[in-house]
Amino acid sequence: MSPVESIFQEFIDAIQTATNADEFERVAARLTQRLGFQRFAYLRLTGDTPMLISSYPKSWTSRYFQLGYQKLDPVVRRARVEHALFGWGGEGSAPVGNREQRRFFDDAVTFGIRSGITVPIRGGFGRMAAFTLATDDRDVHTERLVADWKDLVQLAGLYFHSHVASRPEVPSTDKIAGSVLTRRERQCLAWAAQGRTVADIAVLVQIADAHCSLSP
Amino acid sequence: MHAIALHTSQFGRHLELLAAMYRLRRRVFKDRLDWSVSVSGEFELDLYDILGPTYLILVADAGEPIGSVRLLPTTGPTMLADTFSVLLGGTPAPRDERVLESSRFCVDTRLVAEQAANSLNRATFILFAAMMEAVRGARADSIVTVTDTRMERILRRAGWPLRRIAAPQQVGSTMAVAGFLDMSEHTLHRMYKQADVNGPVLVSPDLANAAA
Repeated sequence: MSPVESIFQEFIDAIQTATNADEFERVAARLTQRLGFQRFAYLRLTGDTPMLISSYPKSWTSRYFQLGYQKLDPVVRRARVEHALFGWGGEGSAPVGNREQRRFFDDAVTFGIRSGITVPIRGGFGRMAAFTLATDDRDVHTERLVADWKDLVQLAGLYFHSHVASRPEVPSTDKIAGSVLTRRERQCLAWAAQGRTVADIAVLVQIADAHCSLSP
Repeated sequence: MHAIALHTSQFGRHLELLAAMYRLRRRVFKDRLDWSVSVSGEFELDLYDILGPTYLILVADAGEPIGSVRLLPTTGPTMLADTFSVLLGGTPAPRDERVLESSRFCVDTRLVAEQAANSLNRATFILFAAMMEAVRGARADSIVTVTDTRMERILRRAGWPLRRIAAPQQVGSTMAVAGFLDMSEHTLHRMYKQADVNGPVLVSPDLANAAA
C-alpha cells in the first residue's frame, strides 16, 4: 500500500474501536500527524450546544467558547454555507473578514493555529459539523493541501462525523471530566447504540446482565 | 461491465473506487432523489456505512462506477430494524447470519443511457446477479431490503420477485415496502441469461486491478 492508502486504512480500522471522546481524539490526532498537520478540531453545531472534539490547546478551546467565538469564527461561518473542502490562512492569503474576525485569527495564531483545511458536513435537518486539520507552518499553501488531500480528508471527516454521531453518549472533550456515567456504563451505552442486546453487551464487557440493564 | 465487492478492510487500497461510489450515491440520492442524507462536498454517507458493510460496485468497461449497492449483516443494526421498522407490520426484524440486508441500490441512468439502448436493463441485471453471488459467497440464502413499489416491479420483471413482509406504506413521497429476495442457483442462472453474460460477474477489487 502507498503511504496515503495505509494512512486511510489505519484511520478506518482505528475509528471502529473508538468508544469515547478521548479515543476519538487519539484516532484523529494520529491521522492529523501522519498527514503533516499539527492539530485537528471536530465541531458540531446542533441547536445551542456546540460539541467539540479536538487536539487544540485546552487554553484555546475554553477561551473560544467563553468568548462565543463559534459565532464569529470565519471558518465556521464558511463551513455553514459551503459544501466542498476549503483551505484558510496560509501563505499569500489575504486577510479576511471584519476587524473583529481578523483579531480572532491573530488570537488563534498565538495558540499555534495559523492555517488549515476544513471539511463542511451537512447532517440534514439543519445540523452541521466541521472537521478541520490545522498547522502552525508559515509556508503552507492551503490550495495545494486542498488539492492533494481532497478525497481522503473529506471521507475521513465524514467517517469521523458518522462514528461520533452513532454514539450519542460521547460528550465533548471538555465535558468528559463532569460525566456522571462510569466508563463501563458508557461502554454499555455504546454497544446498545449499536443495537446489541443486554445479554450480548454483558458478554462483550464480561459482566453479569444486571450491571448492564439499560432502560430504553 | 462487471461488479466489484469492496469490504471495509480494503478501503485504503481502493480509496479512489470508494470515493467514486460515494460520489455516485450523492448524485443519485441527494441531487436526484433529494433524500435527507448526510453529505459533504461530493459525497453521501450515513450511519450504516460505518458498520463494516460490503459494497458491490458496478463498473463500466472503461472502469468508472455506474451503480452500487450496500450489504450489511442482519446480526447488527439494520435499516429495516432500526430506521424503517414501521414496514415490518408488527413482525420481528430478521436477525440471521443467513440473511443480508441490502440498501442504497442505485444505477446511474444518466451515465448508462449514453450507452446502448438496453444497457440500463443490463446494468440492473448484472448488479442483481452480483447481489446473488455475494449472498452465496457469504453462505447466506436471502437478502432483506427496504425498497419502493417501483423497484418491486423491476425486480418482478427481472424474475427475482420480492417476498413481502407486510403491505407497502407511504414513507415521505414513496410507497415503501420491505421484503425478502431469495437466492437460488436457478434464479441466478436466469439472471445471467437476461444480462447476456456467461458466468460470475463479481470480482474482488485486487483482481479487478490486475485485469485493468
